[in-house]
Amino acid sequence: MTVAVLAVACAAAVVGSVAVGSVAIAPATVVSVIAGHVLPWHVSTPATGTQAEIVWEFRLPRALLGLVVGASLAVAGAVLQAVVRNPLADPFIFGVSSGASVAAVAALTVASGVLATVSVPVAAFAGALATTLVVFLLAQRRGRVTPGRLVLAGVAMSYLLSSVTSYLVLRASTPDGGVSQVLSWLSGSLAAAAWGDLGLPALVLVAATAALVLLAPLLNAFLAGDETAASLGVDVGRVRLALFAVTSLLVGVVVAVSGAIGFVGLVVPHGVRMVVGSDHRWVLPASALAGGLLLVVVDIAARLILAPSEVPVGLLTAVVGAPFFLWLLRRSDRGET
Amino acid sequence: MSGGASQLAGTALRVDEVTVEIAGRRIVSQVALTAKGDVVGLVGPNGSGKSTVLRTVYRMLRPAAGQVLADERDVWSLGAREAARVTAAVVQDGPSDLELTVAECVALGRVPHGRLLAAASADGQETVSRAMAAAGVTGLADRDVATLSGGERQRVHLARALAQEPRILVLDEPTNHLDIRHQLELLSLVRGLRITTLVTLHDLNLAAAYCDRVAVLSQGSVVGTGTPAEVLTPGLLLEVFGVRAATLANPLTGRLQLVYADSSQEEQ
Repeated sequence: MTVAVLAVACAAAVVGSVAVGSVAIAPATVVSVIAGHVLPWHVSTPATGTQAEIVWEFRLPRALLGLVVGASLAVAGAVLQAVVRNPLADPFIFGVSSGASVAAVAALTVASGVLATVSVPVAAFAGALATTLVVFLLAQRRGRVTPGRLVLAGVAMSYLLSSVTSYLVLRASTPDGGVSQVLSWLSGSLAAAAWGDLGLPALVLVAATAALVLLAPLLNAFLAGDETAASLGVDVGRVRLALFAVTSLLVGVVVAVSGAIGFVGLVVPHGVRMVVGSDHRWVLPASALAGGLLLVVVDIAARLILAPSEVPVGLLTAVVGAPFFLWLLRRSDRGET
Repeated sequence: MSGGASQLAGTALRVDEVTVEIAGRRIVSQVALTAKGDVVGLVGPNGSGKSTVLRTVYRMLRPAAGQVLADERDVWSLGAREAARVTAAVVQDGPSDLELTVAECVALGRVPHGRLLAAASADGQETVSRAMAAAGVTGLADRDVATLSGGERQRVHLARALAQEPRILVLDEPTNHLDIRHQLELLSLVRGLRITTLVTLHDLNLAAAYCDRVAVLSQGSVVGTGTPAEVLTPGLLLEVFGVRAATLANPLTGRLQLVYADSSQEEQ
């Protein structure tokens, strides 16, 4: 039920997102243009040629990318919170985004050597995966990885990599150093979305979410604790590593195209759990839809608030997410006393 | 009761000369235990290796040497899920802020049985309901596990273990943090299940009251096995626990009852 409502809301938000902008286009026109492209038969549309181009070439890829990025971050957050049994876990706490940022910023600012030849998305993706691997290795002692050590290793790596990023930005603060490009990447943005950016993240999202829903009972078992999970026949170490790899893939491919968009992976799974409970068979699909919905809606706001200029969507998710995060902390404090 | 274990029906659990090393340090040394249809208590001072032995049984910790056999099959050569269909454990995981409801938690017992997309078969639902009824937690079904009292939470995890339909039950300090009534209720519930059970207990009088046999661990080795009356003698308690003890008959049940004094306490 919740999932169906969210799916409808997502579709509505995408249409709304395409309709809104410097040139407003009626939702019915938007739908007719999209239908004309998607359906195999001819659909008549009141749209002018320019409107049709705006809808199909610019706004729709952006809305869909928002959907995919939001969904991927939310699914990754839900999985990480379960595997480390920590409600404050999100993809960014484990250094995934800071790893992506360092590599992306290096690709943008270092204009010599190998880095000059690597595109920003490729660098960001490689950085995300490499950082995840390092965090996992750091958290391991005698072949065992415990949730507490994972969080500590991730936080430590985040700080380290953030300072490297700052250094790279400072070093590049010369004329023509690409600093504004770097800052806009670091703040996260969907503005550059094109159809070509969508394929891989969408494929990874669908495949990973399907696999994770099949593995949902294992995620539920992790919530009961490592010892109990082991007694239920879950190979705790191997499954945790596999889940970590899947989340870093999910996050890596979207960070590569959208930059660092925070808080979606943290807040969405919590909101979802309040409605559907903790069973991951429902948490995962609902998180995907709610995460996509949130990011599409926040992106609409990011375009409207200071129109005609844009606020980076990553800044707005932080503005929305930080108060929610604090509220969550206060709520869990109350539970303890 | 003595020597009757081999005639009891039930799945045989045999811990066969198990040695566990962690970071090169020997924690448990050549421990041998058997249980078959009866309740076997594992007692010993803090740090004697009780929980470590249990962890080799529910496959959290692989022994460096020796085997854990369920009906003569090595649990470490079975698949993890197959082993979890034979052995269920109630262990000491701390609570987390992300908790399942009671019904969801008990349903975890079906994880080793289900295909991965466990669209909760009617059969499985039925087993979960029965397990909840047996552990007396049916009325708590929709509560969050995090909001339960210690006694309720232990019974929920017992229900979850029962939903696994185990033939061997392993319990690690199940009476910790429970008040006396809940301690007695839980152990009497476990006894009533009549399945092969290995349980660690701190309280020797609980072990004497509810276990058919006990094994005493000291510094990672078994130093005595047998019925409580055979094993829990003043001499052994002085040697292993460093306390003076005397044995009585419990006036209510007639079973072995121990009373203690530390070495500084003079007789009045």
